[in-house]
Amino acid sequence: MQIFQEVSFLDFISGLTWNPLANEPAVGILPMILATFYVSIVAVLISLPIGIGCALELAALENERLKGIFTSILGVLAGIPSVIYGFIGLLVVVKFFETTFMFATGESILSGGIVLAVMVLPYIVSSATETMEKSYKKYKETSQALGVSKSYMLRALILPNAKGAILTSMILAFSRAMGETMAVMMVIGNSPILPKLLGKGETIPALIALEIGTAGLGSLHYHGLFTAGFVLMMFLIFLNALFYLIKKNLTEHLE
Amino acid sequence: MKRIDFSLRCWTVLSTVFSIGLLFFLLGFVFIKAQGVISLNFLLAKPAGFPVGSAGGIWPAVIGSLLVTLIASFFATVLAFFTAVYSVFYCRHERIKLVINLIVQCIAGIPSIVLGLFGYAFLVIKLKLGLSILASGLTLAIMIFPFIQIRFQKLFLETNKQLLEASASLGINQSYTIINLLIPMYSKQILSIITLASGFAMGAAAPVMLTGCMMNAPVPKSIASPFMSLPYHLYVLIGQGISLENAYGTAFVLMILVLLLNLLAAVPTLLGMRGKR
Amino acid sequence: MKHHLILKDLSVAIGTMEVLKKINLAISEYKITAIIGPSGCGKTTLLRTINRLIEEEKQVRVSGEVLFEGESIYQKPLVKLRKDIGLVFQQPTPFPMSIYNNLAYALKYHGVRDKVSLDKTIEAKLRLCGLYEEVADHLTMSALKLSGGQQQRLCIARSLCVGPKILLMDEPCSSLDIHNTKIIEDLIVNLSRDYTIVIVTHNLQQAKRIADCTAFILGGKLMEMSNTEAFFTNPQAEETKQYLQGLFG
Repeated sequence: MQIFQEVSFLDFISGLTWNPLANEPAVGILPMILATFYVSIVAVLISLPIGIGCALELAALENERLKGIFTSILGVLAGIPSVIYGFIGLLVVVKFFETTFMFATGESILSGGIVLAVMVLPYIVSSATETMEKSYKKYKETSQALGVSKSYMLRALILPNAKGAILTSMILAFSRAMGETMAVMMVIGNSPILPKLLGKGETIPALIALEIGTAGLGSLHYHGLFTAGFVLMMFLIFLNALFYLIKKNLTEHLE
Repeated sequence: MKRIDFSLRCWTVLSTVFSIGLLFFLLGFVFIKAQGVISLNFLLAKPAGFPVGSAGGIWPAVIGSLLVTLIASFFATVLAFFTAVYSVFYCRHERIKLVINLIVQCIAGIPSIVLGLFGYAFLVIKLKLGLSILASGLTLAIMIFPFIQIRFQKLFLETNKQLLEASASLGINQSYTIINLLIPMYSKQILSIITLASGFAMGAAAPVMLTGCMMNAPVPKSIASPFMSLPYHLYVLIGQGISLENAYGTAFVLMILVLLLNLLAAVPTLLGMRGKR
Repeated sequence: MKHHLILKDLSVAIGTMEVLKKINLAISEYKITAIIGPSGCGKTTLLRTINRLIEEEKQVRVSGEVLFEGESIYQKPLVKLRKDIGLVFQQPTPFPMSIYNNLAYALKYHGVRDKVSLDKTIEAKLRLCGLYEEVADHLTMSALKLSGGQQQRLCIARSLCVGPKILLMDEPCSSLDIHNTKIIEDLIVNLSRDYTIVIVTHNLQQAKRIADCTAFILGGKLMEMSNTEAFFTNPQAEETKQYLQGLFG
C-alpha cells in the first residue's frame, strides 16, 4: 500500500493512463476496472438466458437418471481448466470474428465475454437449479391438482418465484467472471485503453498476470499491480459476501 | 396461451441441449485436432526446438502438474479437515463459527491471480521458498482450501446426530469417534471431494505462473526446484505462437487428466448408488 | 435395598423453557424402573441429564443434584460416567460398519486390544442379547442389513460391551413390532439381574409387564413413584388416576 504516498487513491482508480515505466510514471487503472466490468457484464448477459432456461428444464426434469447425467456433465464443464477455454476461444471465437466479419483482429471485449459466458454457464445453471428444484418440488402437487400444465406452472409460478435464485446465480457468475485470468487474457487483446465492445481491452487479472514478472521488486510498478489486485479482491469479497447473505436469506425463506 | 407455453418449452429445451452440447463440442474439438500430435513420444519426451516447445514433448510438464497438484491437495485437505472438524464438533461459540465461515467464504472469493500475487510476495520472497513447486503447491492449496472445507463441513453437519450421541453414550470421546466412526463412514465422499478439488488445482494456471512455473525446466528434482505445468505450457505455446500442434497435444493431455480426476471422483458415488439399490 | 441413582431437586431448563422441575427420585439397584408420562413431559430429557448428554445441546441449565453410587455425576470424568451409565436410543443406531466392528468399536477404545478377549466379550454379549445364533455366521456383514429388532438388540449389546452399571433406555421398543418388542422385553427382564435399568416408555402395558417400580412424570414434575403393582392398582395422585383412566378408558 506504499503506493498511496506517491499517488492518491482517487487518482489510482480514476486515472486513464497506465504507464508505470515512463519517465513520469502514471498508474491509473480505470480502463482496466471498466474492462473487467464490461467483459463480465457481457458474459453474464449472454450466459443468463441460456443458463436459466437450462436450469428450468433441469428443475422440472422428472427422470432422475437423466438429471444425474446432465448434472455431472455440467460439473465436468465447470472443471475444465480455464486455459483450455482460452485456447479454444482463441481458435474458434476470435478466428470466427476475423474470418466471417473481416475484423482486423478478433481479440475484443466481445470475444472475452463469449468465452467467459461459456465458462460461467455451469455456475449459473447449478446455482439456479438448486433453488428452483426446491420450489418445484414444493408446489408440484398443489399445482397439478389444479389441472395446470407443466410449462404453465414453470412460467407462472416457478419463474417469478425464482427471482432471488436468478439474482444469486448472476452474482456468482459475475464474481467468477471478474476474477478469471487466463481465458480472458488470451482472447481480449490486452491493451490498457478504455474498452469498447468490439475493441481490445485489458482486465485487472490480465494486467497483473502479464506485468508482475517484469515489475521490479518494490518499485512503483510492483506496488501498483498489488494495489490493482487489492481493488479487485475488494470487489470480489463484497460480491461473495452479498451472494452468501442473499442465499442464506433465500434458503431460510424456502424452508 | 398455448403459443407462449410452446416457446417456453423450446427455450428451456434448446438451452439444455446447448449446454450439454458444449461439452461434447469442447471435447470433440480438442480430441480431433490433437489426433496427429499425440504419441507416446510426445508424452514422454522433453520439450525441444527453438523456441523451446516447438518440438519435442511435454513429459516434465505432466510430472510437474501432477506433483504440484499432489502437494496442493495434501496441504489443503489437512487444513480443511481440521477447520471443518473444529467448527462442527469442537467450536462452542456461534460467533466463532460465523467468523470461520465468513473467512472461508472470503478466501473462496479471492481471484486466483491475486492468490498468485500473494504467493509470490509472501511465499516466494518473504519466506524465501523461491520459485518452486512448494510455493506453487501451497498457493494452489489456499485456492482449493475453501472448496474442500465447505464440502467437508456440509458432510459433517449432515451426520445423523444420534450416531454421535450413541458413540458418546458408550463413554467415547470426540476424537476417537471422529477417527474411528466418521472417517471410515465418509471415506468415499472425502476421497471424491479431494479428487474433484485436485482437478481444479491441476487446471489452474494463473497462480502457478507467478510462483514457480517455468517455460522450460527439467523434471523437478526436489520440491524446491522450479517446474513446468501443463496449463502454463499450453498458455505459452499458444500465447507466443510457438506451436499450434503441440498446443493441441498439451490441451488434450491436460483435458484427459482433468476428466480422469472428475471420473474418479464420481466412481465412489456411483458404486454407493448401486449398493443402495 | 441400595439406591443406585438418586436425583435431588433436579431441574433442567432449555432456553427459556423449564423441562424438568425439581425432580426427586431414587432408583434401586438391579431393578427395572419405568418412567411413564405423556409426550413432551421431559422423560427423555431426564435420561439425557443422567448421562450428561444434555450438555451437547445449547443453552441448557441444570440445577440440583444427581448422585451415582453416592457421588455427584459432575465429579466423575465424563467419559467414565458414560461408560458406567449406558443409553439405548429410541431408534436403533447401529454404526455403518460390520456387526463385529460395531461391538469392537467401543471395546477397543476402552483398552481391549487382543483378539481373543475381544472375541470372547463380543460373543458373550451377543449371546446375552439372544443375537449370537442369528448372526454368528455373518459377523462381518454390515450392521445396517439387520432387521429393526436385531439392530436394537445389537445396540443393547454394544452398550453392554463397555460394562455399564446402569442402562438407560429411551423407548427402546417404540419403533418395533409386537414380536420384537416381546423379545426385547424378555431381554430387559433378564438383564435386570446384573444391571440397574431405567426405561422410558409411553406404553403403560409394557411398564406393567416388566417394571419393578414405575414413576409418572407430568409437565416436568414427578407426580408419583411407587412399585409397579401399587402404582397401577392403587394410584395415589389425582393426576395419575386420570392418566391411567384416560388411556384405559
